[in-house]
Amino acid sequence: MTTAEVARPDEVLPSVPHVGGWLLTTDHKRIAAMTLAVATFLFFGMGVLALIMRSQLAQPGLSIVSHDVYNQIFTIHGSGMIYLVITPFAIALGVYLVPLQIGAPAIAAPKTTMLGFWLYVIGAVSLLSGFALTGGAGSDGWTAYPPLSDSQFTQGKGMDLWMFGVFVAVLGMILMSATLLWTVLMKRMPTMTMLRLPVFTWSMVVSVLMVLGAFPSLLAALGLLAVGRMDPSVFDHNIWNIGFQHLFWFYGHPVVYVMFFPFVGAVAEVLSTFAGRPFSGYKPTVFSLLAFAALSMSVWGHHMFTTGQATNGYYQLTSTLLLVPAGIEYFGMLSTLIGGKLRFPVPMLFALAFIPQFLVGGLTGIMVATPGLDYHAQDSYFVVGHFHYTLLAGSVFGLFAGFYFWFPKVTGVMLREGLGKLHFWLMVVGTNVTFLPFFALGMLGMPRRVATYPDLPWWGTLNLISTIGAGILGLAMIAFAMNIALSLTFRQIAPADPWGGHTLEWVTSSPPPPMNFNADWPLPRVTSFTPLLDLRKRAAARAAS
Amino acid sequence: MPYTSVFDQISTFEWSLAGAVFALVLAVLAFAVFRYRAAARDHASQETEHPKVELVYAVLLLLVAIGIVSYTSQVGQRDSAVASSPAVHLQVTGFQWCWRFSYVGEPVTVTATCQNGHYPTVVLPAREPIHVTTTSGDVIHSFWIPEFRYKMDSFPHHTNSFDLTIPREGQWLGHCAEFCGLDHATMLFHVKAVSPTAFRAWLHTRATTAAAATGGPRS
Repeated sequence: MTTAEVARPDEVLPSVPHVGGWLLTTDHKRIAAMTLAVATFLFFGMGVLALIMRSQLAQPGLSIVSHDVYNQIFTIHGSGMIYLVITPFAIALGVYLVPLQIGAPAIAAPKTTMLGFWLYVIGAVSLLSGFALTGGAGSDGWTAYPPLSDSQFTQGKGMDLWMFGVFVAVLGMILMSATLLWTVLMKRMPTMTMLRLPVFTWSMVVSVLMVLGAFPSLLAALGLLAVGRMDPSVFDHNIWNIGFQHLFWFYGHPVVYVMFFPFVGAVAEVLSTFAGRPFSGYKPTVFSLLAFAALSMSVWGHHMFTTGQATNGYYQLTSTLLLVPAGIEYFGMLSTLIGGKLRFPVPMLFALAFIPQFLVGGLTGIMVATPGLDYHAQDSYFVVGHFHYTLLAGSVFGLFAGFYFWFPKVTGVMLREGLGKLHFWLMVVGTNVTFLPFFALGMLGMPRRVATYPDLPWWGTLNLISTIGAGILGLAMIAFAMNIALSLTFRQIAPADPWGGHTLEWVTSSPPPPMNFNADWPLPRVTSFTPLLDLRKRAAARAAS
Repeated sequence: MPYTSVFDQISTFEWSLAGAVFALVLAVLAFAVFRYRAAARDHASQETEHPKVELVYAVLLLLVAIGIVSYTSQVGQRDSAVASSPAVHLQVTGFQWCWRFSYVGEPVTVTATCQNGHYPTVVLPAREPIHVTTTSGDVIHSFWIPEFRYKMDSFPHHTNSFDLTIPREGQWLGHCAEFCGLDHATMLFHVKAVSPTAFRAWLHTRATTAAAATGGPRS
């Protein structure tokens, strides 16, 4: 095996995979593509669960499914979306793109990255296999608070499988994140300094720092739960019940940003590409991402305002301070658009919709970070509306911006613009029709995680509107699935750089060769965080002179 | 309902602020999309830094954050005053899946099954300070009366407390807010506020009945 054609002779490269093809690959692109494919597939499954829930809640007093089954469905929907869909998608997007964006031929410790993928798959299978048991799947919500989740109050193996699945999948994410951080710190091409990393790569650096800082706390919480599954008397002491919540939320808040930053990074790349200019406010954005991540480790108690056992004033202060870095990021996004030359293909539409939609999530976030307001809003549909605006209207729109943007790079095939636009508009309408009523329902007093609700004024109407919105979201996802199927069947071959991109992944072929760059696809000199834009400027200057 | 006035004041403040910020961002976005569309432009600015503007802006954001926290916590202070002599001490116990209300110092307990529409109704005096302590017999529940804009978690092996004054007579619905298992959705209760005189009469009747039921002295 020779590596002579690769640009970096000082680099010891892993061998190109030939045994095991995809399943035992050490190519970061294949590991990431498999992770992205599994996460996308599971996304559809979690959407189906959401549709069952919305059907049950369409009117008061319906019993399409029993309380027990409903509780399993909302648990697996929430757990699935957080542990198995958005987090893995976010990290895998980084595993695919970061080595390319920093001009590296491979990811560091690729077998560890691959192990991370398999742990994720094993975790997903374990978590979902509970549905095959007579007792059903885990049914205690994605938070699984004890003592409800101990073996006294939740019997059956479904909860054990849930616990094992979450543990293993999260461990996989920690491994993937560690190799990603190592890659950025140690494997950058010469001239790629830290302040020339693309915005997306920075968003990944910050995300994996949070993974490494916060995710082990969830493993500890699950360890405590495992003890309680064997001997529930451990939860006869308040310290372990409230202690679990502290351990859980020390993970549970940073994970929100792990599910968010990579998509902010994706949106930043999409906005700047289709504005035809470098991302405006690069350094303030990088520093605000770092500050955001550091602050995110100090805000967890805002999930516990109503426990009577948290220092509410302190957590309100740290949580509200988050609006400073968030505001700086918004400044960056808007000032990139102002002065640009804007084009509007599908990735740009999703990125533009992300801006006001995520803002709804952010602004309602300030509200629920205020104890005087949260005493009412906590555990109500207001909170459900809040986090669906951050995660669906925000992160998932960023996810789709990235999906349409990088799909040609990953597959070598363009997605259809027409179906993409249909998907986009159905998503916008569906998202807002589904989730705006949640704020009103929460204020009216509808608690979250209820399998049914009393027939009170407006409750039936608002829930029905929301269910109609969910149906529209279902249609949007059908358009999305059709787009993928059609594009992969009747192929429109993607060029290396279909959009006029700014970063190094667009200088190599679509899909890139095994070692990312070679003699046919050489790396250019890097002089800023937008090397391809610089390359085009230099070429234009030469042509003019 | 002191929490209601606190909630309303904070709510008005934060909704106004949020509405203004949302409108501003939407306006800037709409302006940018229209004004800088490719059809209307021959070039794109290549500027990447506005350090002075961003610094001023960051300081402004910091002031807004501090303003929000100090204003809302000042308003919130008003609700934490504990009554020196509450008219009634109510002990709320959540269990899977209903509620038990005890009047501390009186042999009176209100409970129900929460099955088939049998929800407990807790009777309280209007306009008098009520001291509430809450705990749980099994898993974590949360005692929430949406109209009062307040909830407090009911933990097993731990007691939380708060004070409450209901400003007028009336009846309201309460829910369990913390997911607690199979029938969490139907863990409802009613709060009925009556005049202090009517409350004492009700309490006396219930105490007498309870004493009779437990074989106390016949009257």
